[in-house]
Amino acid sequence: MLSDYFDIKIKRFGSRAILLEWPDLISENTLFEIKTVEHLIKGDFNDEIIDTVETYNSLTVFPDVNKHSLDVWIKRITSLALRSESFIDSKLSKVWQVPVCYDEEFGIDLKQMSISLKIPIEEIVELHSMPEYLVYFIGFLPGFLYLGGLDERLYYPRKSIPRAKIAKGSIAIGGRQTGIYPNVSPAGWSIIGRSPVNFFEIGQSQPTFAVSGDKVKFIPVSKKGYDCIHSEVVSRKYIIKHE
Amino acid sequence: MSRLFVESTGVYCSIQDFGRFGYKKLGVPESGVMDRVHAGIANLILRNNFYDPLIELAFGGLKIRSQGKTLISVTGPIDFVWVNGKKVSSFTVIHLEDNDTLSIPYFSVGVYTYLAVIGGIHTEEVLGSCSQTKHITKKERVFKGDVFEVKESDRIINLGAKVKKNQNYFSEGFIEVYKGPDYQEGLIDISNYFKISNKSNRQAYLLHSNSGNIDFKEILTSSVMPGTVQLTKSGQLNVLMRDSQTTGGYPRVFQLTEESIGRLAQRRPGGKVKFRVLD
Repeated sequence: MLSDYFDIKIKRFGSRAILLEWPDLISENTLFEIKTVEHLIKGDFNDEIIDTVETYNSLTVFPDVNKHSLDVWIKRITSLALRSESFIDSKLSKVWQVPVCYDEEFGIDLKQMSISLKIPIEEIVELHSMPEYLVYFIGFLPGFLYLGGLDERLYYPRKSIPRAKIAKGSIAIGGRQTGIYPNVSPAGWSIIGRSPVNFFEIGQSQPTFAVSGDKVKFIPVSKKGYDCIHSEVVSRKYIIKHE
Repeated sequence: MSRLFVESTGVYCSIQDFGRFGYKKLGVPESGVMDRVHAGIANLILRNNFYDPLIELAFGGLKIRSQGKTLISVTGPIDFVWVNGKKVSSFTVIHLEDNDTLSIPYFSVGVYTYLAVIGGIHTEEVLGSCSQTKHITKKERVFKGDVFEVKESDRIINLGAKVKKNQNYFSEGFIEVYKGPDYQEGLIDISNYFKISNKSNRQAYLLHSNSGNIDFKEILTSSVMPGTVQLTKSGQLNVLMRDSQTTGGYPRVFQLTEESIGRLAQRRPGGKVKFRVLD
């Protein structure tokens, strides 16, 4: 039984999904447990699984309910047993080097943040580009990465009135989180920079380069550096670096 | 090949099939037709596949001109369309000749009308679906001036009978829901009617109650899907529809049945709906 190995609850979610829930907290351990269970389910049922959605503390599985009823699927998933080959090698995770220009032309909220937080802009940039952020999952918008690891000195409340439109590639801070807007969108977070890289690209075999469990490191670049990478991205010559 | 030229799109018009699957973990919305029953009937009238791509139109106002012969069908809340200024019944095969003008009138009950074409309307397929979706397909909806290549056909299709329209579908009946993963007894009273906000769209229908503010524990961002009912602190319910995001941070108090998603989709802003909880 899956619950012999993990602290999880398995619930029906409507008529075509099953929700596996872990305790209500954000941790790297939970992330790797979720990935392990996902790997196990996909390994055993492969093309009978239509979709999976990972979040901080849950895995939602959309099985093919034309093949078996949802009740049968719950039994099949509940009774899975862990095997040695189920484990994911965390050494396979990549650290993506994402170039970011923190110029005030792009980082339109940097000045205000610097005043409110009483931290000079240069230090905000340093604190933001220092950590390796863990990719917990992708959601909200196609290619939007939920990142963990923001320095608590940079926690900054969400805007009470969201902006109607921010630029593609905007790097933002909202509450205890930081993220990258993969496309033009409305935004309630404060914008501190912009990346020239594509975070969701149709036509690639994998539209997003990062997967959950990977890490992201922001590499500060000048405005000139941004322009240079941007033109490489546009002409499809740019390849994002990783470790 | 015959062609259809879009001369006017009305309020909102897009190409939809039954949705995009297998990419939710990248944050890609499911999309697809809002009302599967009427989209499916439109296709079946032409003996297409149930889920072939077709035109979905909110509130009427579409005008198209044909080049070459083809066969179409129209279903949804309307009883008739205009072809060259003449009334023609919906829910049956319509023959378009070269240079015919079809217009779908505005109507007062229901929301989504479906226009299917024999063989389907095969526009750009992205990640396994023709459904037009913001940030996914090049065009996020149908625009005036769009041209669709369609199968040339004057084959007489005789189904023997016209499909009967069920008018109640568009205005009556409960919205059936299961309890959601974050359901708690006593959190919200759903014995009353909820009013559909005019901010409703393909992404979400917003329902107002007079319950006042509601206090609850925040949840960690978790998965959502079409039909998920989120509770907000103002007491408003967000019913996520086909273009729903894949994750969200509000408690998921109910989950609509698949059939109820289509039924709710056909209810107009300003109208009232009532829920029924299934075991």
